[in-house]
Amino acid sequence: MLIGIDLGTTNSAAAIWQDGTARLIPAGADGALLTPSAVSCDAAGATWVGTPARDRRAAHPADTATSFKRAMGTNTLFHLAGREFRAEDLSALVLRALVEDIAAETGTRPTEAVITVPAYFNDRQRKATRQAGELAGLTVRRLINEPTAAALAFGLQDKGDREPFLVFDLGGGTFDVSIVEMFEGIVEVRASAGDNRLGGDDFDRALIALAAPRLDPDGRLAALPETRREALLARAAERCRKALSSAAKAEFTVTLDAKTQLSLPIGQDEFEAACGPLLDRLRDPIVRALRDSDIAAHDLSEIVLVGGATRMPAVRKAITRLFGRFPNAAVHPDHAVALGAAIQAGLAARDAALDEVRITDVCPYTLGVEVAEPSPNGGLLKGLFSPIIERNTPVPVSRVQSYSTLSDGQKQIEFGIYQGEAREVARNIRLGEIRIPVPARPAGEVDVDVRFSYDSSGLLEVDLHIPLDDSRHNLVILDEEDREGPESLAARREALAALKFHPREDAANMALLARAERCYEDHIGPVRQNLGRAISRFTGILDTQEPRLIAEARDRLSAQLDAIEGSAPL
Amino acid sequence: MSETFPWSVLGIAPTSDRKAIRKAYAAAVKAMDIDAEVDAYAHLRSARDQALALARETPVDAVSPLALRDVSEDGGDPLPGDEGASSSSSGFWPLAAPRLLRPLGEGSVRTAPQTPEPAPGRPCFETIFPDAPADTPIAATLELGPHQSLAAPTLSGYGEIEAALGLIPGQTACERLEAVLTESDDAELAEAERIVALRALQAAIGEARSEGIDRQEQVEDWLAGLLATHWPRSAPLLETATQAFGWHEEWHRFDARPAVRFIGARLRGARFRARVEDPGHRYHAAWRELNRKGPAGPFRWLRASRDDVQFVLSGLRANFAHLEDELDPRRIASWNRPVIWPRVVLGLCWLALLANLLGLSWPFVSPAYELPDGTQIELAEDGPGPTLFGEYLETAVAESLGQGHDLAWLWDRDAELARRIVAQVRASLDSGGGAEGATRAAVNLVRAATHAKGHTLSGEAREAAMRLRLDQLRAAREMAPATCLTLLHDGQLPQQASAFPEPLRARERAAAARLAETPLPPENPGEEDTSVPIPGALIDAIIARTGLPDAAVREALQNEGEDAPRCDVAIALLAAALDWDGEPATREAILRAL
Repeated sequence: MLIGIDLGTTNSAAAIWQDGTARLIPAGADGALLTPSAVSCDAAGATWVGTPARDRRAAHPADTATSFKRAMGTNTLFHLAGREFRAEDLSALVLRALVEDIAAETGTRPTEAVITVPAYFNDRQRKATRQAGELAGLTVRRLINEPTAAALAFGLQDKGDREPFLVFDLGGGTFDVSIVEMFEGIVEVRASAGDNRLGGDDFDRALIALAAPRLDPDGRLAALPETRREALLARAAERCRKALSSAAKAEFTVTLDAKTQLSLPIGQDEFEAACGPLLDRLRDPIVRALRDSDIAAHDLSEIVLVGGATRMPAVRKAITRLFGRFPNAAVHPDHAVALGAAIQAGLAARDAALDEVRITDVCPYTLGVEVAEPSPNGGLLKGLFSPIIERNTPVPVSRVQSYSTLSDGQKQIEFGIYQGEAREVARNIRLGEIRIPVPARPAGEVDVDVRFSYDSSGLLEVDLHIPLDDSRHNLVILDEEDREGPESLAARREALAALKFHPREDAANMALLARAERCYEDHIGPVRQNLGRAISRFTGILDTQEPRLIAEARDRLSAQLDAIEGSAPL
Repeated sequence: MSETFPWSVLGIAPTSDRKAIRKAYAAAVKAMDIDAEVDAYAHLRSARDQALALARETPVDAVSPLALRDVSEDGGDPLPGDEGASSSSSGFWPLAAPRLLRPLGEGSVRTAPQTPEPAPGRPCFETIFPDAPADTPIAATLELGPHQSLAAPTLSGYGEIEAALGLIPGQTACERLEAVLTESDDAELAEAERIVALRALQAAIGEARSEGIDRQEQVEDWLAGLLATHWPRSAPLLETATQAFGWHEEWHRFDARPAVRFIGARLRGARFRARVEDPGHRYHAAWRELNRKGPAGPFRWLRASRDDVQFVLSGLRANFAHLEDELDPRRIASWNRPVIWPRVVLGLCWLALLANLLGLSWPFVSPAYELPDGTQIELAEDGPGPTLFGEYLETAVAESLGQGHDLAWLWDRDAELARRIVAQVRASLDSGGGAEGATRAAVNLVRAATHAKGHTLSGEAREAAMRLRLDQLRAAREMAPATCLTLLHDGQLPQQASAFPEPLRARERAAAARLAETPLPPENPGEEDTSVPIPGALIDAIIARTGLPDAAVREALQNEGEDAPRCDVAIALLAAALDWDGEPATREAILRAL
């Protein structure tokens, strides 16, 4: 079975293409459609993924990882309860949880997937995502850009023609803009641009920067250990930002211990002012996408909002101002990407219901090689970038460009291959290099034709041809040189498999316990004491291993938590 | 391109109907596997794009009537300067194209709107900002004239400086900015003008901010062109505008708009200059040197290192080439020429050699001797010259370590000892000891060093070192008990003492050469005070060897009593300890004390 997965910064979701429609798969027993992208471990190697992991962050901040998508493609290590994980490993654990959910729902275990990535993810980040899929035991049939997936979900609601519309995708960690057009069943991405370091997390950080100095006049918060302080503030910011999406004022509340709660009211206006620099950063990708597609903003037919962070009134206001009209909120901001991925899965499986649908995408970055040029004042300017495939070219694409030798009797040429938009290669991302021998001739007499071929999945192939002696060389940029081989991939997969997961029936209990502990951390006074008693009672009943008793106790505790969380201002 | 392209690829007859073109394209895309037929797909795309472009150009009913009216009105309007006419135009933007591509020459750029250029001297706002000033009562205020405007009532946002500069009240921020920038040919803005311009720029940015993205882009484009055109007058405004529009993100891009790249180079150049003028900056000296007028002299390397200057020059060329134009080309040219000072130095060397051959001492500098590591040590004016000093040094080393060893050899193995020998020889010469005294001092120094090094050894080598020590003490005892004691405590012979007999000297030299690679142990002044318990067996042995009474031996071991018995007891103790096979730790402690 081929599935579609939205692997998000904050939340992930899985969807399948079934009976001519895309359907989201509920995560776990409680019917929620989103799985928080969170992983938590304890010293014994027990591992939590999703909602319970996010709940565990309250009591075990150091052993819980969130927002690891921002570290994809880097060598950042996450230390959870003495174990080391890369972002790919943690993403693989989330993917595995989604696969389990699908297996439980449909009865078949999926082996292939379409995974979404931010359009502006670079080559390294895409490779890391692909690797996460492999670590989770999935064959990644295709990576699809998130705004493209959202456009598919949006466009296929009625399959009608649409003049160019703009998909505005502001997620937890990344921002993408795509301009898409639909006609005769063709979904055509005209241009994509983005900022892969801008998302809801940054707005949380702005909120913390706004609240923290005033919240903590006695320095009690500052005296806490760093991981705990950051976890407390992050949670408070998340809650406060959510509350601000529906109210003009919200409390920024941090619970320090059983007796102390720090609280500060934050107004919508204040928050908006604090977000000013972030809102300004929204403009640049929009302008670039419009310029590249040669479309004026007032010619856009719709502004389609995707991603949880677009719920913020401050963001909606900025969009309304930029485009002079209200955005379209017809698609569910958290579900559209996963649904689009499932549609793409249906397309890849050549499902009959999608026979009349095609999608064409673009490559959002420029690809080229490093060159040197004689400087007008003498000497040589080195390290310049010469584009071969310009950004927002439709993919698949194959382009050729000719280069020649620089010095007399030169015996070899080295081509550094780069991705990016800067004039100097040092500011771009190095993908690889190829060094070829050339016949020794006077400078400029040996030409080399460099052909770049870029396919729909984002795989780049470089072919070199020297017409002088008709020699050919080929390089497939599969992995950077420092990436490990298949053996180590297998070893990492085994290391992940060695982690202990709770059996499905236990998982509900563990998740409830994590939720109760989070609730305990959030409250003070009698509520906290009551919760403490309830938690020890519940763990006592768990020890009896009596299914009927446990089920009753679970329902009781669950109802108690619902009552507390429903009434409290948090 | 053939008549039939693009229609042949799309498989339709030439048409201006966009829908038909897209339908044909869609059918073709669905019929192919674009992943397998990359070139065919690219061909189809370009055919589609060209067909759509042709359809747009053809004025047929399919084109939006609104857009058509727009084009005809503005294209046909020959009066861009006529306020009445332009204000009557509907709210539509005549320059709908999002990109105003304007060629930018180096240093001189001009906003080139796609409509005809207005008459020279006239602000080009009417064409770029058709909706800006029309409804404000300009005509009325214009009548006041520049002088009367001072007395005019201050309008909102219109201050005294503006009035003093003769600007027109009611101007939009953009107009005012352009007026300030264009009204004078001075290279720099006067302070009052700078304030007005900055204020107008901030107002223009603020207005743009509250507008839609298309309008923001137009203002941005226009501003970039204006600021680039009027550089260097616009220099104080670049930072603010760059921050507002994020041009610093753009100017590194290979496809940056020419005006933005131009502004980027100027602004980065200004920032670089501000930093490099700080005397603490790494390249300050090189920058100052490059800013001097006229060709650089042969001693230019004294002011700045060649590498630094080349680094600054190549940085300028790669990033802000216009800064190089402000420097004196003769200066740069002389830095680009190969430096001639190596030849000067070579010439000086010849002179020095000649002087040496003629037996002259160099008249200007005090004589110096170069050590094997390249450092120079100054020699006394009236002492031996460098050559002679070197000879003395080599003699001293050969005497200390044996023939065939020289200073360079020792330097490679124990630079510290070599350095001490040089210092000792020079001190000895300075104090009038002559060549012989210098050699003796060096030999003594090496003797002490060899003894100190011996203590760091173990096993056979250690035993051999202590046996040598025993024989040295015995030989010294032959000369005088005091000599023996000096050797015992300082590791050296007294200055005036005669040398050891030759066989012993040979053993000393061999030991010194053998231990050359052993590093000198750190000096430990506290060691002398340590008390060492001496077992009864050894006391008995000393009594037997020396024939001294028990009390005299004990007295000597306390370092008391006359020289002779103290010396005898020490020698006997060493000999006895060397032959003793008692507890190793105690034996080692005794040997160390001797």
